[in-house]
Amino acid sequence: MDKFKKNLSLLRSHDPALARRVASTRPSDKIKTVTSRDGHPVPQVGSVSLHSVYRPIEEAVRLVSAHAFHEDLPDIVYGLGFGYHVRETLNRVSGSITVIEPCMEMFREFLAVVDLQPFLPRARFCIDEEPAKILARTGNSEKWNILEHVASVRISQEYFERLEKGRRLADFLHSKRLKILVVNPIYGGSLPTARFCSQALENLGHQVRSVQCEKFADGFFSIKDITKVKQHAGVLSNLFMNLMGELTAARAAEFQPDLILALAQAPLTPAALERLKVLNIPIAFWFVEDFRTLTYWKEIAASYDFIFAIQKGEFFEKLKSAGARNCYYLPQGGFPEIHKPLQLTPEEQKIYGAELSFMGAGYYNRKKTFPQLLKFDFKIWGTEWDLDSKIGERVQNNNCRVSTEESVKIYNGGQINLNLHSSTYHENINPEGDFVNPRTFEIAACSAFQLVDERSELDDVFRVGEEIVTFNSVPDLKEKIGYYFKHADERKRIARKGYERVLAEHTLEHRMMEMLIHIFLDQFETVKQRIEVRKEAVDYFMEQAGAETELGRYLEQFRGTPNFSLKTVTDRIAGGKGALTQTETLLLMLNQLVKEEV
Amino acid sequence: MVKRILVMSLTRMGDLVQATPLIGGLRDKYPEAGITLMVSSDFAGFAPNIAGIDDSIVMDVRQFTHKEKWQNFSWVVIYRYLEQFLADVKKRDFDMVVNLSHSRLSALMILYLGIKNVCGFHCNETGDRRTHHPWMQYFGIELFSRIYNPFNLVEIFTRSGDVRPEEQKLRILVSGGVESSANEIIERENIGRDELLIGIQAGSSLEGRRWPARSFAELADMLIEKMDARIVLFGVLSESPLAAEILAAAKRKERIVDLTGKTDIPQLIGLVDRCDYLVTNDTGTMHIAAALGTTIVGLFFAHAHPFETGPYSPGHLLFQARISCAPCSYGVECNNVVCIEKVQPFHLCSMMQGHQKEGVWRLPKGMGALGELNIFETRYGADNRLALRPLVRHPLGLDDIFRCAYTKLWLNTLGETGGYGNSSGEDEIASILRQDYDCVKTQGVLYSLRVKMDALKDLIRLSRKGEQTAENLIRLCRGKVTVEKVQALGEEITRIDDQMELLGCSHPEVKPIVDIFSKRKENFQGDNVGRLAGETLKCYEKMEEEAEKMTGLLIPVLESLEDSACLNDQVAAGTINALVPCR
Repeated sequence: MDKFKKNLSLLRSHDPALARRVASTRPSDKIKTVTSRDGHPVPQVGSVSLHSVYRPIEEAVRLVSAHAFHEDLPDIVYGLGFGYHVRETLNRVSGSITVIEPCMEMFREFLAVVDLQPFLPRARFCIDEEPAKILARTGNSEKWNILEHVASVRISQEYFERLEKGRRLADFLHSKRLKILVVNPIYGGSLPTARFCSQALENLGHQVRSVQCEKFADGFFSIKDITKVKQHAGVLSNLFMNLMGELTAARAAEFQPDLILALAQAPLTPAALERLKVLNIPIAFWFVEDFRTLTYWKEIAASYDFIFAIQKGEFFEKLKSAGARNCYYLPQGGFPEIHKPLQLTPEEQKIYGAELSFMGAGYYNRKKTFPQLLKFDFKIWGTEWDLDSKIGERVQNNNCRVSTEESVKIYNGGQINLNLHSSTYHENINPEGDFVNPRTFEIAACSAFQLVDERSELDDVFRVGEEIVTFNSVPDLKEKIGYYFKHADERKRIARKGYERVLAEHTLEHRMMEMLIHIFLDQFETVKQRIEVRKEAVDYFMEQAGAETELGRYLEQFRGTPNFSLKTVTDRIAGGKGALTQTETLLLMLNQLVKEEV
Repeated sequence: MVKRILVMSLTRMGDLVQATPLIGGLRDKYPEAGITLMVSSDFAGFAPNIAGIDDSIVMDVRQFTHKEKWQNFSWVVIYRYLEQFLADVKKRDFDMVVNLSHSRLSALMILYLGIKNVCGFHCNETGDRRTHHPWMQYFGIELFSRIYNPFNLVEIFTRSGDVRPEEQKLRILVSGGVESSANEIIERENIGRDELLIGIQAGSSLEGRRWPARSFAELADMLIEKMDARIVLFGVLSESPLAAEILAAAKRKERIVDLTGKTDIPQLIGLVDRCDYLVTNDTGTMHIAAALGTTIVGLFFAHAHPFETGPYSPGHLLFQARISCAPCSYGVECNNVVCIEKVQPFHLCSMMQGHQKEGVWRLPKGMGALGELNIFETRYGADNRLALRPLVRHPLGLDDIFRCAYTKLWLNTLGETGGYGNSSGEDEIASILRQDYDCVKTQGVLYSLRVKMDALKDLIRLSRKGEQTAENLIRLCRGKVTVEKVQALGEEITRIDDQMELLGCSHPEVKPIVDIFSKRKENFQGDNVGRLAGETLKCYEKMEEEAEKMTGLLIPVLESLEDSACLNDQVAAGTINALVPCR
């Protein structure tokens, strides 16, 4: 077997997604391999040799020896070449390292000539990945301990400059508060995602306001009852959507955000989006649905500055054809504040405990598949199930909506959680299934075991077989259900690894960070200026008062308080004890004046 | 010895005028003291006209009232203004403050200034409200039982400064400059020296308190036609549209002069002084007229209550709707304002015609049905207090009885200046009621009065229970204190107070006594249980005293009404119909 195939096979067991990508990459005629004086392969790009053509290993030793390693800091290597410096670094450190290389062709060539075995499992390769993704998933990049392979960095200068800019941006985003307006959908399964995103952004330290379109859901649904005449219903619906657009504009005008993020079916028409452009800020949309099933993206693609999607490839082509200017692949994530391991009470265990659980809507493929699983202790929760059918007997909640909190109990209660992605026409599994549904991350975040149907994007987020288990057919599913019933330890071990993976890389905080880096990477100076001119309210008042004055010193205690206002101060005074100070008395007087005059 | 007195009056112009008897009393009491008046910039121009003051301080927050300034987070600027303003006030080292503003702002200012000798609303070092003077405590509860309040605010404020209002009058200074600047306008408008000049103040601070413009227009036409009057419209610039409405509706425009927004304060004073009558809603201009002695025909609608804010001098005529919702409470928004329709222009014109001829207020013939109209005259009573005498003798109501009785009660129980003459007043009440009200059909009132007197008995019973519990608590504190026992007695006191509150809610006529009890308890400070129990005991004793006195005041009224009822029955028995003999 040639080296490339051997390495590929090894890579598949370590990083199948990367293996898949590199397997589909053609060799580049821009990269030549020459042999050094001492007999080692050296890549050449144009006239540039990426390692010494004499003694590449000695060169690598010198390079790595001059570098200071710190046990507590993550080791990052810029540039791969043929990995001599990477190998040497692995000799020097005991933990894992991350190798960032923008050129997939270089990696392919590397696999073709270098033995991959010594690099695994401690070297993690980030090949041709967006800086935003690397920065979001590799922790606080401020602490990176970077070893630069100068030759590699030089030939990919633009990429590494962008990466460095991304690091500075990430650092900036950690220390500064953006103002972000999140526009929720009116209803639907993505509404919780919108709320989690808002919370995740707040957890990242940003100031978030939501346009809670869901509060108008009753009105929206009532429109349908007004008239059966489609044309009239259309007019009413448009008027309603216009109202939602105006609501968003009103909120934005007052809040003056740095970014507007709309999710799923947020009711923003192209006209509304056009209105919002006067704010001169990025407006982004996260499309968290299957583009083939929900097609409204066609109408809005050209209106947003950024479209984030949970599918890529074909969808990106279609988005660009529809006028989208900037598309970015961003899979879903878990929200550990809600999706977490729980200790169920005995009563809850009775309700939610099951050998096999499913939580979700009764889509066609599920209705077709699940009757084949009825021999198991199988409990189903969700909506749109035929309660009179055989499966209906297993539906626990009478087709009523399941709250997020209850779904967490369901995930925790099931020994095996079945995660079959929905389809409106497949009999069971969608062989072309690409995106990973949020349930995958939610179950994993509960440290619960799941069996999920194979999806092409899955191995980019989980190590299949180690962190998650898949099935590719109903017989396969049945066999695995039987197997994992009997092997509880293995089940728990896999669930645990999946849980650790979610917390490390796949929470909505990671996603939001990635989104922000991607959006602002090319607008860093603009947003930096915008924020630096805009002071935090407390800082503004302290500046007005004079930091060294009694008032200024009094206000110091409010630094970092979100939504600071005079009310914050008077609430603090009201909650205090003992005699009022002169400063407090003056502030209370001021409050009385403000109340009377405004 | 008091050397420097600060009088804070940061609200309205009318309040400044109404403060003049108190200021006069302070001047008499502290002849050597300097009296400084703190006013808002809106009425700073009026300060020189306030008799008895030596100096004024102007608080100018109006400079910050432009909305865009607030939105620019400029509250630090306002903070600095307050800080500097109060620092300047502090330097003047006042040793006494009289607070006539009754706002939390003014209370906090007093705390900040550190002036210990306070008359009026203030707060303690933790910002909690305090009102020590009995009359200020009364003022604090009066708002919730206005229908039973017989005291003008002037009287309340004056007494709260330990000044007897009978010995003071409203006073504003009228300088030569005032007269001459008014004369300029009089000459310019060609108003003859002997012409009957009637001023109309059609606007007011609250829109709901206004008589309609068309009614003023109709009245103006009548006064011009029947009394050959010249009419002057007073008001600030913002009331010019109202004046324009009146002029548009009036027929005899040539006899009406619109001076809205065209007079400064000295000119206003001079012109009001020149007027023979002032027809006005409840406004600051009305109080100026009262001080000057210009005869007032006052209109009291919506929240305005003539007992509370009527002109504090004799000889004025006041109109008010006599309907179940009048006066309405502050903060309500009426969507069917009927009170303003009960007073018709011809009512005023007829009364004024009679007054011009005879010099007294009398109900002429042809006034029509007056069942829904109160017409009062301000005059001094036998007790030398300014009171409202009804010119329309309405059937006696329970509210009338209690209002009259509360006059005597509070004068008797609220502090030194409260004690009034030697007469206990019981017989006087019955006599006043017979004089002012139609006491023929009083069976319903009698029954209700008995019910309320039973409520007073319940209140006395609860007071005594409270006293017993408080005494138990005092005894406990002198011995070995256990937390559980203290807690139990504390809970018992809470239960008694809750029952009292319920009693007050069920019997609004008795509520003022319950409310002032609660108000007194607000002043409790500290956490020494024994001392608090002692203060609680005093409060219960005071309430028992007041409930008993009230009962004592009502008994003769009850007896008098019972006698009247019996007499009426006997008279009725003299007719063909045979009636059940009285008890």
